[in-house]
Amino acid sequence: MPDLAAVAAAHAGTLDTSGFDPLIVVPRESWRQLAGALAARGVWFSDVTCMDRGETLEVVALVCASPTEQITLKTVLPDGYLVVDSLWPVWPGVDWLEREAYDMFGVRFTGHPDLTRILMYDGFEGHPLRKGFPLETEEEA
Amino acid sequence: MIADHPRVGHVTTGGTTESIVLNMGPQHPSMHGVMHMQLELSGETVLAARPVIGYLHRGIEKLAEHRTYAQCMVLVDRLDYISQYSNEWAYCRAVEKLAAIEVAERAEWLRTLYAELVRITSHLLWWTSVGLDLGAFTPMIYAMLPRERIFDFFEATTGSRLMPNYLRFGGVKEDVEQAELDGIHDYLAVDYMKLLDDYDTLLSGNEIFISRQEGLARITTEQAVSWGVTGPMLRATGCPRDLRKDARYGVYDQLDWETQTDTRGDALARYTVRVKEMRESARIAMQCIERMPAGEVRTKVAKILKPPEGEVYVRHESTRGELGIYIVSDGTAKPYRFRVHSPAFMNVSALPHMLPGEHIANFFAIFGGADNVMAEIDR
Amino acid sequence: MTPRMFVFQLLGVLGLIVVLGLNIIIMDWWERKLIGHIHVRPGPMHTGFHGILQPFADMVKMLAKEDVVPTEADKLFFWAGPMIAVVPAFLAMVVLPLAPGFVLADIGHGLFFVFAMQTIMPFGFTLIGWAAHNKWSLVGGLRSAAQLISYEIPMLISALAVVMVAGSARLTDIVDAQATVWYVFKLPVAFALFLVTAVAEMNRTPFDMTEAESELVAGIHTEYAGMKFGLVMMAEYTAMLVGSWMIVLLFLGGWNLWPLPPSPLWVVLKVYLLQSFIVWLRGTYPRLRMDRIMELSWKYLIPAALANLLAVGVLVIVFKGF
Repeated sequence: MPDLAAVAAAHAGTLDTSGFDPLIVVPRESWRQLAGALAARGVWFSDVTCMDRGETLEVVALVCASPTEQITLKTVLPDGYLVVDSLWPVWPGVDWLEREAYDMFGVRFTGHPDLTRILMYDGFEGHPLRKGFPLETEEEA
Repeated sequence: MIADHPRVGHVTTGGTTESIVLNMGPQHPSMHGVMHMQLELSGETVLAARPVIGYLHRGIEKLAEHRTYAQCMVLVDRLDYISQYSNEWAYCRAVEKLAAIEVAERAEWLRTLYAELVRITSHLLWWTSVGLDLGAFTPMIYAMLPRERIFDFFEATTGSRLMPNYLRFGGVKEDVEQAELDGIHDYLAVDYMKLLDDYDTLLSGNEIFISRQEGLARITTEQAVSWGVTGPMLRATGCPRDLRKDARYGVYDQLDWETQTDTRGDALARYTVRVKEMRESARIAMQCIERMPAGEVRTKVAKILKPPEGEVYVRHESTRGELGIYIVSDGTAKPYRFRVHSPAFMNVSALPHMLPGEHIANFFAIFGGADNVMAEIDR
Repeated sequence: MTPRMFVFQLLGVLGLIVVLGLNIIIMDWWERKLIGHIHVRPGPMHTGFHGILQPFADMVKMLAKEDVVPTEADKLFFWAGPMIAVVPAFLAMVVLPLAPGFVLADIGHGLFFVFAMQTIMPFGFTLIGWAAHNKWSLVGGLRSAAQLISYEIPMLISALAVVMVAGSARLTDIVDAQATVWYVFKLPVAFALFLVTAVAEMNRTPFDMTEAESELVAGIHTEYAGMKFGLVMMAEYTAMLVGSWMIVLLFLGGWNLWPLPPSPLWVVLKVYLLQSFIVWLRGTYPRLRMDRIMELSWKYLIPAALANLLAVGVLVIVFKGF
C-alpha cells in the first residue's frame, strides 16, 4: 500500500480512513494527476462510476493497490459544470466505464477518445441514474 | 465485374478496394445474446471492431435504488443469469460487510459449494458455445447433459433451476439434506469426471479445433490488466490472480485447490484454463460436501435491513472474473447507490483491441473466449 | 436412335429422377436420425414410426411456405441459381453405373463427364450467393467458388491415378478391374486424397464453408425460403450422392464384393455407408477456417496428388498391369 497521506497531500486532497477502504477526495484539477501518481506506484483500476448527491455529483474511482487492498478516489463536481479529466491516458481500460458514467450521469470526461452513449441509444434524452430522472414516466405507469 | 456492381456494397476505385462494414448481430445465429458488433472488413480481415451494447439494458442499478436490500436479491439473480449464486454471494458479502452481519458457518460452506457448482454449469454452457462457434454441433448437446443434471440439484435445493434467490443476509434460505449433498458428490466424483474425459477426447484433443485456436489473439498480462480484463481471460496470460485465493472469502482458504493458469495467452489458453477450472471446481465442491460442518444456516437479521450510513465496495471472483458490488447507504432501507462492476463488460471492452488484423472466421473463436453474458454487460 | 431406345432412355431418365427423389427422402431422414443419435437425442419421433414421414412433412412445409424474394435481389439469378446448382449434379448421375450394363449412358469418358458436370456447380452456388443481395450470402458464394475450384484439381489428379491403373476412363471398366482387389488397397494414397477432396466438393463438415452458420448466418441460402431453399438442399444432397457414388465406383469396387457375386445391392449399400460416414464426420469435427482450407488444397493436396500420380505412373510401367 503506497503512502496515501503523502499522495493525497501532494494533490491538494484529503485522506479519510474511517470507512472500509481509505478514501481520497481531490479537487477536479488534480483528478488525473492523482490517478497517475497512484498508477506509478503500481495501483490498478477496478471501476469508475459516479454518484448523484443532489447539489453535487461525485466521480468515484475504485482502485486496487493489491488484490485485497482497495482505495476509493473521489472528486466532487457541482451540478452545473460536470466536466473532469478522463483517466483514459492513465488506464486505457476505463474507456467503457467512463462512457457509461457519461451515459448515466452526464459527466463529460475531457480527453476521452470516444465519449458516446453506451447502454442507452444515441437519441436518448437525459441521464437515467441521476436522482431527478423518474423511475417510470407517466405514460409507462 | 461483380465488385463494380452497385448492389454488392463495396466499390472498386482505381484498383484499391474499400473496406465494407459488416453488422454482426444482434440477430445473428451464433451471437451470444443480443450483442451487436460492427466490423470493418477488408476482404475477410478485420480492420476495426466496435461492439454496440445496451440491447438488454433493464436499468437494474436504477431499480435497486427503489427497492429494499432484500428485494434487490432477485435483481442480482438476473444480472449474470448463468452464474446466479456468484452474483447473490457478491451482493450478500457487500451488504453483510456494510451492516456488519455475521454469517452462519455452515452457510459459508453451502455458499462455496453452490458457487462452484454454478461455475461448473456456466463453464459447461461456455464449452457448448465454443464448439458451436467453430461449427461443431455435437459438444453443445453433450455438455447440456451434466448442466441439466446440476440444475436438477439446484431445483431440489431451491425450487428453481435458473433464478434461485437462495442466499440470505447472514446465511442461506434453507439447509440442504445430507442425502442431497451425497447425491451431488457421487455425481461429481464419477459421472461428471467421466464426461469431462469424453469432452477432452471430443474437442480438446481435436486437431482442427487446436489449429483454429492456437496463437489466436494472443495478449500479455500487462495488456490484459491495462484493459481491465479479469477472470479466466487474465489467468490465461499467466497471471495467477484469483480473488478466491487472494481475498479469502467463503471457505476457500480451508480447502485444497489450485488457481488454474496458462502462460500462452491465446484463445487456446483461455480454453484450457476454463476446462481445467471445470475439474478444479468439482474438486472444491466435493471437498465442501465431505467437510461441511453441521449447524445453523442463517443468523438473525432484521426483516427490514437498514445498514448504517457508509459505502462499501466488494470484489468477488464470479465465473467471468471480478464482479464488483459498490453500495452506498444513506441509513434507509433502500440503497442510495447500487453499482455493479461487471467482469464481462470489461472483457468485452477489450475485444476492439484484440480483433483487428484477425480473420473474420476467427471472430467467434476470439469472441467466445470473452465468455460474455449480455444480461450482465447491459444490466 | 430407334423409338425403342428412345423409350428406354426416357424411362431411364424418369428412373433417375425417382432415384434422386428417393435419395433425398432417405438421406433427409437418415441424416437427422443418425446425427441425432450421435448427439444422444432421438431425432424426429412424431411423424410416423421413428419420424419416418419427416421428409414428407418437410416437403409439405417447404411447399406451403411463402416464396420470399428480397426486393433488391436479382430476380433471374435468384431463381436460376438453385437450378444451375442442381441440374449438373443430376446430369452427372447419367453416367454412373449401378451394375454392369445398368447405366443410362456408358460413355468412354464417363469419369471426366462427372468432373465436367461438377465444375458447373460452383457457378450455381456463386450465383445463389450473389443474387440474394446479402453480404453473408455473397461471402458464402465467393467462398464456395474458391473452395470448389481449388478442390477439383487434386480430386481430378488423384482420380487420374485410377484411370492409369485401370487403363480406361469408362466407369464400368474401372469397376470391372476391381473384381478381386479394390483400388482402395492398391492406391491408398489416391483414395485418401479423393475422399478428402470429395467431402470438400460436397460442402460438408469440416469443409462446409458455404453455410458456415456460425460466421455467415446461413451462407448462400440465407435469403432462400420455401421450395427454392428445398432446391438448394436438393443440390447438396445430390452432390453428396454423386460424390459417394464416385468413391464407391473408383475405389470401393462398385458392385464387387469378393468373394460374393457382384450385385447392384452392394453399390447401394456402400454408397449409404459412405454417406453415413460423412454424416458422422459432421457429428465429430469443427469447421476448418477458410484460409486453412485453401492452404490445405494448394500447399498439400495438389503436390501430394501430383507425387502420387508420378509414383503410380512409375509403378504401372515397372510392374506391367500393377
